[in-house]
Amino acid sequence: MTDIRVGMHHQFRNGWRMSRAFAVGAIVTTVVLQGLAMLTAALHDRIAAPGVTVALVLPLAAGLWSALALLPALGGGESDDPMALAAAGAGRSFRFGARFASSLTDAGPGLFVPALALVGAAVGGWPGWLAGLALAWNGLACGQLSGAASAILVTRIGPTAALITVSAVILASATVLAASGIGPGAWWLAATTAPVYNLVLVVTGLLALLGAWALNRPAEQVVRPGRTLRIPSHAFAAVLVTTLAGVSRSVMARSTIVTAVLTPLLVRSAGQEVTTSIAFFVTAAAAAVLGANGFAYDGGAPVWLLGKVPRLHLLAARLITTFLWAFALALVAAGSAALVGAAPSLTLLPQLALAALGAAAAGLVPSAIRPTTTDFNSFRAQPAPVASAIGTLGRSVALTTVVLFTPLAVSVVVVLAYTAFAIAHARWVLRDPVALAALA
Amino acid sequence: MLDVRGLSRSYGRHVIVQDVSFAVEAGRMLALLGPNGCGKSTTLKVLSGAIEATAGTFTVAGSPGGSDIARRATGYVPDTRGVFPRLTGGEHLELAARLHGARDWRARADELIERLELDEAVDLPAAAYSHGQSRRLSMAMALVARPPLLLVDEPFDGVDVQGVETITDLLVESRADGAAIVLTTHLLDAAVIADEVAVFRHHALSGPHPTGDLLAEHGTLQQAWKHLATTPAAPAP
Repeated sequence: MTDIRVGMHHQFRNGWRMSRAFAVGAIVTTVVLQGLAMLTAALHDRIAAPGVTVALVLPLAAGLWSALALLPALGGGESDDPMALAAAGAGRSFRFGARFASSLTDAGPGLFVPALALVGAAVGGWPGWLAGLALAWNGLACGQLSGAASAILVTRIGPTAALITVSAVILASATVLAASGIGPGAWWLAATTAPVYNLVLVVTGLLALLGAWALNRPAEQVVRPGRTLRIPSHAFAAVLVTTLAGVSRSVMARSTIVTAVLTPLLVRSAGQEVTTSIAFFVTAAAAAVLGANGFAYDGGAPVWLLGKVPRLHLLAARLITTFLWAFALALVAAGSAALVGAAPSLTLLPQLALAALGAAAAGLVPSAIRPTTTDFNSFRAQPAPVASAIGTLGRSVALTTVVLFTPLAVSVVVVLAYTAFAIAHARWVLRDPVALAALA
Repeated sequence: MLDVRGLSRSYGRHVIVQDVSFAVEAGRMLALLGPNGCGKSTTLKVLSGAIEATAGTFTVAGSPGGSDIARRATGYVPDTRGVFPRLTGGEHLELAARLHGARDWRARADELIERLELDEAVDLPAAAYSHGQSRRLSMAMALVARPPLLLVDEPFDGVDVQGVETITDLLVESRADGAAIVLTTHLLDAAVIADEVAVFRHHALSGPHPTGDLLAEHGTLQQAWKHLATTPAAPAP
């Protein structure tokens, strides 16, 4: 018992030191996102299907933004370094305590919980407080389950089967729980109408406990390749293929797909209408996570690449990779929304593509100007600096908003102009990438 | 093969490399020695094209440094892991060969995999590699296309005794095949394979000096280093 307590203390201390700056950014970001959610609601007529009212869209958007805010939190355990624990001679009890605490804090992003609670209280009074808390903790619990299932299944039955299985298990669980009246959606509804917060806290705590027990996934775990790449002989094509593989083989990228599937389901299980606008916001957030650092997923390899490949090739490969993933995530989210009653329209595809491109370009800038150690790992392995994270997400959301609320021709001009500017600027900065080279 | 003239590199006001000049002919090996932070790795980063020189120029096989021709002619082993965590060892070698424009590289890749004892790890993602295995893989990437210029930054770091011997053999063979090699290392016993040695002192270079002359005068490279590191830097005649 003492070891568990020491383990929790260790994790809380590490988590706090790692993330206090991020917490400030999280609160600011959440406030901004809630504001954008209200903007979304106010302008919903431009994108929503007939019959969807502001009263429906506002909680949907607020909940959606909150869920997206949890994207980087999936899985947990980043500051629970297994090597450091092993070096310290940590026993099983200590590890359990550390992982349990990790489930609750999940490094920086976990501090969205109090941020959500504060904003919820400001926006909707105590029911809003409970709703935000319940949603956030449910997100964490789902993340723990997702991470644990990924860790177990990825090595046993292969990445593709793991992806399908994790999605199916979590979605089925959410559906069954919601139907039985005790699921995440039901909690959210109940929390807004009745004082059942004790049940909410106990059950989410139990889920976090289960996640802590099952979680044993290093942040940088790599999906073992199922087949060997065929690398083209053309230099740019070779870089593009390997860059794509770098993302597609990461557990994190697969987890964001799971999230893209889950988000509409969570919203739907909460009893809210789902619209295809979800896909846009999933795109913005997922691309912000995937592309927050244009050189992420490559370890120290960018320095080797800098000496081998023209800068423009490197930037183009990164941009195309992030764009393709963001667009794929948007399509997955739209498909998931369709499964629960939304009616995606093919006419929205150009806007989806533009949102993905804008979000990818937004992520390219900070990694070229102010690359951090996060650029060599991932958003999950170590939270990006507040300025980088907020800047990326802010640009991404701003471009998405332009895409949603302006005519297609205008948004095409805006997004393409921004992308051209981002590439030109990054290329200029990378003519002498001292900061990037110094990090490796 | 490599001609460096007046090369300098600063980070803001902080001078890392100051007015360095040297040349390495085909079939010759130069060892750059010096304490941590003296500018060895920065020099190789500049020569690899990863970063720019603040002042000075260099050419690779007659082509301006940093040009596409120079990039293709250069094999670079950075002092970091320098590998892609999510690519397998075999994929790393194929990528390196493609980026060098090599055609007949598979036999060479197989040979390097065997000699550097990467057989069992070749199909695993590099994230699963130990530090020593990553260094061996970086070495194999630099050698797979048989580039005429090799820039090798601390190749023995974290490598076991057998690995040090293998990497030494590979460097000597590459030199015999006509490659020009610039090597940095703190392993002075391994540096004796170099034809010439240059020592960084206060970010400037003393040398190059013929290795044989230094050994004849000082007995060991360690003694030679101590001597050169405490005398004013002066270029070799």
